[in-house]
Amino acid sequence: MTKDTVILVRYGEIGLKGKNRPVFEARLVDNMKRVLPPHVAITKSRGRLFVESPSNESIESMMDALSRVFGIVSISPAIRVPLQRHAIAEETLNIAQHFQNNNNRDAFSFKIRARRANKQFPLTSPEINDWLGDEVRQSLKGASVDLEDPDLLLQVEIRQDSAYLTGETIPGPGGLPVGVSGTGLLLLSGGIDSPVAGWQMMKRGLQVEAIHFHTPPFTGPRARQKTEDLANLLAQWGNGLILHLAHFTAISQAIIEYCPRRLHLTIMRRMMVRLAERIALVRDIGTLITGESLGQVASQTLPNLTATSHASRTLPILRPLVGFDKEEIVDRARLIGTYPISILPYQDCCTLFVPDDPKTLPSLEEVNRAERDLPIEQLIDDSLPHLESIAYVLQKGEVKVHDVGD
Amino acid sequence: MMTRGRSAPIIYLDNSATMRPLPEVVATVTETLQNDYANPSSLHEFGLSAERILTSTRNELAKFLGTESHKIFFTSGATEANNTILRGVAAAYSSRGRHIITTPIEHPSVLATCQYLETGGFEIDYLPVDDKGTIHPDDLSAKLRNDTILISIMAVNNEVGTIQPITEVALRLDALGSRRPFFHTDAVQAIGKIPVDLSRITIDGLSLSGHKFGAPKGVGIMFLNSPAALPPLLYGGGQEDGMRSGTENTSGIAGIGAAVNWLQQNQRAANEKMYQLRQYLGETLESEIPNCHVNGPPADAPIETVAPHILNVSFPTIPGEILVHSLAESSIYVSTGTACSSKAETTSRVLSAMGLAPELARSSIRVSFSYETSAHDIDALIDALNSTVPHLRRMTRYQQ
Repeated sequence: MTKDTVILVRYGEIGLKGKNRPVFEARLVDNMKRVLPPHVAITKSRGRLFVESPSNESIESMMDALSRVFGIVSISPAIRVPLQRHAIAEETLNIAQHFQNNNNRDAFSFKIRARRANKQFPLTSPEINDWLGDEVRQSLKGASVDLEDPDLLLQVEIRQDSAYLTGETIPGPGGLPVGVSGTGLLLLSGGIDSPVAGWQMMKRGLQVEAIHFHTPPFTGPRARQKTEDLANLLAQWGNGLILHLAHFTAISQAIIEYCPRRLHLTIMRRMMVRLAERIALVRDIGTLITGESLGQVASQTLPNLTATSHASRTLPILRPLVGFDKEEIVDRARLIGTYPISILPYQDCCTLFVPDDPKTLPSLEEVNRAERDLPIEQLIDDSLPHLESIAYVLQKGEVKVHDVGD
Repeated sequence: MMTRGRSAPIIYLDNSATMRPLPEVVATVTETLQNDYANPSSLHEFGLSAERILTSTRNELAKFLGTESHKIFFTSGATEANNTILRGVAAAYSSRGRHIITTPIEHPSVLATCQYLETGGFEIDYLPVDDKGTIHPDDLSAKLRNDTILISIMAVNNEVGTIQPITEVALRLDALGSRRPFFHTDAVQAIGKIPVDLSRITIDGLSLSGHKFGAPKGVGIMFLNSPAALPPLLYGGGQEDGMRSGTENTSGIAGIGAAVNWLQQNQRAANEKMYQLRQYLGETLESEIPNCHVNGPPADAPIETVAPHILNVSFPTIPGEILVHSLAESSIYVSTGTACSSKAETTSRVLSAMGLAPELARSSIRVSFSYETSAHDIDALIDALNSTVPHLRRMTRYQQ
């Protein structure tokens, strides 16, 4: 039997969830399949998942894809060898040798961490640690054992069929598998914050749909394309995504016509929330998500957040960035990959209608009064028939785009 | 009425950005791609056949421009021609001086190259333009210095259609004798629209772009009066007499030939028709839509003072790009002068240089015609503006 490489996937938090655990594991496996090429086998064993491809898929590209699957704590490429002592010892030395060469240093510390799932194997885990530790020390000059903070952590899993050895671990994104927490509707602008907000909630297991408000002709086709590009990118993290494009021009016009100028922005955001809530309820979506961060701009003061919160009658508004600094949001956007798209210059929703001096501390009563003449329900009813929806379906590692019929 | 691909009819009024290739050009390019695909540098008969296309196009073009074939070089476009000439003159003449004169209303491929040269120690002077977008030769005379090595002035401005006094500038420079600086003109918007005759005046360098007069994108023309005087921008196989290495774009060049052919037969009639449409559009808008301004040469400017294919007009309070998007909803395509969408550039640089109020510079659109444009197209544009401008103004006025 020749040795081959598999990917060992560790998941943490979901292991703790008691009765829900099988559900969570099934979801994780399903989500992993969506980012991997076809014909990949995923097997589960004692709190770990093993990914194997019969064809010669590149391990690196599969690891890269898995690094975007929430719920995964860490990923290792593992060498599979037969359950024979000489084969295990040989591969252990290979990995240690490899590490020594790659890091171009003679002296390095290491630790063997064995896990014996297969109790038929003649040595216990501590015995394996001692045995392989001795092998490495005797064969490689400069190798020393450090159990506290080793340069190389060499992990050995003894399973029914084979042994799995790995000397490399890359972190996964953590969190919960997308879908285990329900569905949320993200208010997606073209900016930096809202894609990050969506990502944060995907990380907590929400399947995210997004709604973008476009205001033609005040916003152009490139602003729309930018939103579609953001949705496509988020779909790769979020197990796919549906983007709803809502027509907001008539609503903006009505606000300008019927409401006092300094509250336009506040009321515009409330109308967005109302429209989003209506769509969410029809689609059985349990929450709204926004990229608001307390105090970041005039429309995100506490009174303004209160005003938008009250616009939603039944659904909560999750604001995962509420305590983030702008720099933290930008760093996260870079990590996710949305940043270069977000900073494209195309004007997004109605920055044109923002008055120079928006009211920062409107009372709820004041806002309600300002909306007195606004035909709220009528405006929403009129906008809904113009709704367009685009599905970004994640399958076999690729995002496929298609329009959603109604 | 035109169509975009096989879809619905559109009204395309963005011909200064690029023109739909002439049918004759499409046929010639296709023919050349299919049949004359050999490398013009290849020794065999097949290669010679491709080379003949270059030779005959060069000859025809030289005749059309009133010059000699060996002074014509094919490039990838006017951006490359402008770069080659400006950077080449700077390199070849820097021992004589480091002073360059241009205008603030040039195409970015001239302005950005000048700014690049500035970082290398060249001094750039910009001639003022008047409220019609015209430079004055007296201003040029005042700025000329002993160390002036290069003057670059566009023949026709791409945003407002102003014709610059190129002939007068050339004559004044002639009077300088041996101190005469290199005179370059970017004639991209002039070719085919106003007479360009190199036999009557001394121009040292001229740039043209194929796709602005019916030929394909990706092919341009550089004219050099004394080719040996400048170094090339690209080194390589030595094509185009060493002035522009790289395998020649045979099919694109054949397309240039077909476009020149077409111009010789149709240019006069097409320009007269476009001029009439320009005047009709400008006058109708100014009389029908309140607070509407034609920028640059007025609607009734005499035909010899304005490019016939460009009308720039402002509708104060409505940002130009919003009007562009709004007209696009009716499948009418115009532009905001410069193809730039960044927030910082929503004000037209050219209109600002002309001294227009910021509100006019922010709210302008450019309508540009081709031989295909009909009175029906212009009426559709007028109708669309009549219905959309008052509506958009209600939405945009309050932010002033």
